[in-house]
Amino acid sequence: MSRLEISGVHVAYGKGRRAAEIVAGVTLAVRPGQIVGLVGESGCGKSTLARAAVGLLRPSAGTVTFGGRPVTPLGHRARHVSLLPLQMVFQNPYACLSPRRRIGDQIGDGFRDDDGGSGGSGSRSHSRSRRAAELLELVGLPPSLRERYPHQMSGGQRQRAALAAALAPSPEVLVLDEPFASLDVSGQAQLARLLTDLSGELGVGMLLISHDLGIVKQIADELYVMYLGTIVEHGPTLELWRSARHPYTRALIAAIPHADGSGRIPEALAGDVGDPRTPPPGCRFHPRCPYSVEECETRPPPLTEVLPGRAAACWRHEDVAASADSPTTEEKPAGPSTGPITILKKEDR
Amino acid sequence: MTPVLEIRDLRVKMPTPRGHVTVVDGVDLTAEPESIAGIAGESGSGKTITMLAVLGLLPPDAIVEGSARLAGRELIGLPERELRAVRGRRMAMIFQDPLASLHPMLTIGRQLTDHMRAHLGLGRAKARARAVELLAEVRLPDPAGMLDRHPHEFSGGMRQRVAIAMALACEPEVIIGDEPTTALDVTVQAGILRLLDRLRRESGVTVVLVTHDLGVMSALADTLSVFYSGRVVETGTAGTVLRRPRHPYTAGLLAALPSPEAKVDQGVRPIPGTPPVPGDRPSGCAFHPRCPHGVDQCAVEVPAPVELDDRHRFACPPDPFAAGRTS
Ligand SMILES: Nc1ncnc2c1ncn2[C@@H]1O[C@H](COP(=O)(O)OP(=O)(O)O)[C@@H](O)[C@H]1O
Ligand SMILES: Nc1ncnc2c1ncn2[C@@H]1O[C@H](COP(=O)(O)OP(=O)(O)O)[C@@H](O)[C@H]1O
Ligand SMILES: [Mg+2]
Ligand SMILES: [Mg+2]
Repeated sequence: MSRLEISGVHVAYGKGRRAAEIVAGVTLAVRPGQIVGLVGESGCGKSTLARAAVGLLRPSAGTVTFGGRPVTPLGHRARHVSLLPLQMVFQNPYACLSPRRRIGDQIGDGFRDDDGGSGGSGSRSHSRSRRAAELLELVGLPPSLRERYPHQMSGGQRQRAALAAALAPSPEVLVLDEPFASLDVSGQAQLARLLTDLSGELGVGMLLISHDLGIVKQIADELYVMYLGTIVEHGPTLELWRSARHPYTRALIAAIPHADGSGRIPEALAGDVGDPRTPPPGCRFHPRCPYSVEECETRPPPLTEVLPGRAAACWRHEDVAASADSPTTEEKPAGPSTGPITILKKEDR
Repeated sequence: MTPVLEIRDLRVKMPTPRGHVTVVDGVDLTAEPESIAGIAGESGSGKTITMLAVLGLLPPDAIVEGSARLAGRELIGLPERELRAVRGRRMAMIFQDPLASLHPMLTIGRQLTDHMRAHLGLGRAKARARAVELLAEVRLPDPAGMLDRHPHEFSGGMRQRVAIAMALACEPEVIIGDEPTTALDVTVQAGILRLLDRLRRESGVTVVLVTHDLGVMSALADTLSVFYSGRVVETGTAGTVLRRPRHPYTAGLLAALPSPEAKVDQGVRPIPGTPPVPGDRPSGCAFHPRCPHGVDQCAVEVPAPVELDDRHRFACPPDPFAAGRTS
């Protein structure tokens, strides 16, 4: 049973003739206790989809449901109580933390009244403060940080405090937008560990959004790969990582540098990310795709099942599957590629 | 071979409301000609401050001691006028945000030509021709057409290529890149890494590459120095340091990285705790409170560097990863 279901969702900014469609038909689902990764280059529409997923933006088509009920935007202040178990952690912690209030109080705001303690207001505020301390400990922060203001914390601490605040209403699903972005290696690893524990122990489902496949693939159960507002591939993480069927997924994997001391330079993907408002005709990825043929330039490939539980949107997914490695490309101009594909190896050291 | 850049016992104290605190504490670093010297470490470990000290870009109330030589010439204590000449011509810097080195209101062509006319004394036509060459060199499409565009008309990756062209303009001996690819998508980052590698081989420039990303280090760096709390805790060839780290901090950083395999069952293994803040650094080895291999002496003595024959050095006398030891 999925808690969060996004089906056929389109999202546009602006109205009427000036409307610019960013998300162009995305379907995905998050079950309890499951970590679902959503990856893709910056600007492809991940944050836009995230805002639609929690009811901060109204889809221009398609539906978002949470626990079977529609998630409809009513404005930030007036979110329906049935949506409290659906929480979002924004990329910028200041988007969910007020700069002027102490962290402990802000976490306390999130407690649902039924579990915020009973009795007089004194004992309620005491119990809230204790539970705020517990949440801070849960996310690996000292409880003493309750007394601090956001600006008195490091970037990593603020990110965790925002997570603690999102956990206050005991969410069933968390949407996390680029939670790793402001952290360095060890902070990222600590957060990755924490998220795995939260999903495993509390059964929280997560939509984990990031431009960094290297980290997401480490903890996600399933992956969705987004390109210019559409999902191009989807499936269990391990299978996608080992045998991606879409050239874009392969390119994302091949571009990750590994700290193996080999001196190998990862593969660049030709061309630029592009703008989802003006997508190329046919397959949106075709101008950057080493597998592109004529058909790709005119007919958009549908997302189809390629194996049980796996889907890809590529006319040539069978050829992609048959090739052992992603093709190696030479250092290219930053524009769309034209030249032949040759191999450039870094000299051995 | 004379190192292009040689830093010895560099110390920096930065002003804070509670007085000056040491943020760089006795850093040694050598960059050989045409090499890429990598500097890694968690944020706040003093990487940027070290580079700014070398370039003479710290605020005047920062206290800088020790030595930094560019091709034998001492930079620390050089008058501002001379430093400015060094910065323009002989050393250039690339920042994480390319807009930090580009003026938003001026065309790319104007910025490149102004820079070359000021530092190289080129005439207008010559400078313009060279600007086109530079943009082609960093593999921007339609270099001549690019000259009349403004920085905001470019994507992040293209902007970073322009910033690199700007850094190359006066054929400097050293380019310092401070997290030059950290803000980019990996797909775009890989292109910049290839560019830097080619430039190093073709134009013989020495690159000091500062990044917390050990994957990037592995791809490009010839030597690697790992910073922790203002000190170099391990240094050596990048291949050796990454494959056979001897300092527990380096080993911890490597273990914390996502592995090349997906969804491994033992999960992620972060280093526990957080790095110390300057002014509140633990006694002895600054890493000892987070170290799984600590012994009593670590909390007391600042560790002396252990030196192996292949120029591999690390500041951990207990040496838990020595061959034959299990840890
Ligand atoms: N409020 C907005 N109004 C108009 N366009 C927007 C708005 N927010 C984002 N966009 C555009 O939507 C596209 C996708 O943005 P975003 O969803 O933030 O991508 P991602 O999170 O994948 O980086 C970008 O081209 C961006 O410029
Ligand atoms: N202008 C400044 N004044 C005082 N302290 C500073 C200043 N800039 C940086 N620091 C401190 O110096 C230390 C090293 O910073 P930095 O060199 O920027 O680290 P890194 O580049 O390794 O992330 C940090 O702890 C930081 O808080
Ligand atoms: Mg985003
Ligand atoms: Mg820095």
